[in-house]
Amino acid sequence: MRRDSGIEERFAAYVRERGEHHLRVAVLLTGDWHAAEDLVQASLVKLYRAWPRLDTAADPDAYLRRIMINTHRSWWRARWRREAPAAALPESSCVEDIADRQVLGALVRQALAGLPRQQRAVLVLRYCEDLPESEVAWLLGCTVGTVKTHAHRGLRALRHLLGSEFDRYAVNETQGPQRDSR
Amino acid sequence: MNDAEETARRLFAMAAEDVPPGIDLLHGVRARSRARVVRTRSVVAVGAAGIVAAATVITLSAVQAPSAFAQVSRAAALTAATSYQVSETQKIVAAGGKYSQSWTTASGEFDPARGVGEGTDNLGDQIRFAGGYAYRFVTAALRTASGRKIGGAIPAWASWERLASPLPPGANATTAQLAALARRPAFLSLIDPQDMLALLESATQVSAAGAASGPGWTGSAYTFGVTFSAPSAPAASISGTVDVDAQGRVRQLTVLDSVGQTERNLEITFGDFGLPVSVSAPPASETFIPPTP
Repeated sequence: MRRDSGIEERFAAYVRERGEHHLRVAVLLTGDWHAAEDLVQASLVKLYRAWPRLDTAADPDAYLRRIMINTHRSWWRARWRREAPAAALPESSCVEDIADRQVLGALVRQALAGLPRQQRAVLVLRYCEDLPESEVAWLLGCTVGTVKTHAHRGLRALRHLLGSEFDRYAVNETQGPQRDSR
Repeated sequence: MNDAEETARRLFAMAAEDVPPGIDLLHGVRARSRARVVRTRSVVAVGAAGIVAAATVITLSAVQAPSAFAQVSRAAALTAATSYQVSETQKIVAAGGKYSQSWTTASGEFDPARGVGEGTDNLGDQIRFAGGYAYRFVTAALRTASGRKIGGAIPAWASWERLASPLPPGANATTAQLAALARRPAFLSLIDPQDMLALLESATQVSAAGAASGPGWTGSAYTFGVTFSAPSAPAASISGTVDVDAQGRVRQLTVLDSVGQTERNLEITFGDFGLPVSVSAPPASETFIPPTP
């Protein structure tokens, strides 16, 4: 299929500008960077095919977000659901002097991976993507009430899984710059 | 809950900040798009070839496939019943081979007939099998995770943790064992070779793949496939190759498992058959036994 070079350039510019952002979202959905890269690339291929038909005024992020959610859902249904990918934690923990921040990051990914898929998706879309509840509901094909319930239960589960680290981090952030704040 | 929401935002930002180097999304998209075109063009040809191949397999299976199946099944059973040394390498090949990462290496010795064995890996993990239980050494990383209530808190006095479920004696391939393989705890990189031999013994798609040899041995190579299911999960399948020596023992086992474009490659090498293995359970005073959930 031959494409207009302008379309190619706009798509390439979009991937360069926004690809990493979606990669960061994907790692929270999948639990490890390899799967995250795989998910984003598979989704970008679908977006690429639809790119010439997209309304240029539309927000490509919204299209890609929807593709990623649907792709992740189909993978999750089709594949044997494994335990949280072991590649993440041992990889981080094997280095003695690894930054505590990275260890905590890996633990957060593992904790997220331990949540039910829908609950995890709600947390990521609400608190990583900062989407309003109505848009999360639209993306996931559920009601706003369901989104609220998943968010409430998901945060509670995350707090339980991370234990004191969850609270300590919050307290440290509010009390002073003991950790690097983003 | 607002504080919790804000904390979640910060934690998520941290969890997504260590993007590994070398990821080129645009390159991957272009490669996949090209692959899709090639794949589409190949479907007709592959389909025709597949019909011929299927006919060939049906013809050959009447003569040769039972032999290959029997050889591999017997080798797995024979190896699983003797003592041996084992070394393992696990690799992850991601994004269609764009980058490869050596993950872990492990080694150990096992005497399945007596139900004892031990293994270590390059991450500092240790595991012992004795008295029908598995014990894992409490590394600093495991203790850190435990302190965060993932995997259960481990008291400071404990140097070892006894895994909650006793291991089934012997090496029969059961759904429970295979499911346990899938749920292998984090911080335990050594894959139980007995599990893998049991899995091999249950392989149904076995084909001869020519000659094989290694230091001090010669034998035959086979390819195999296994389809199995775990509770509450759809069926899964893995494939691999196995080298069997002239004495009918498994020498090399390679298992390939893939998720999307991420491939996990496990290599297990067996040797030093018949060696004496002496392993005992860690002292009770140093062993934490988690409460049954």
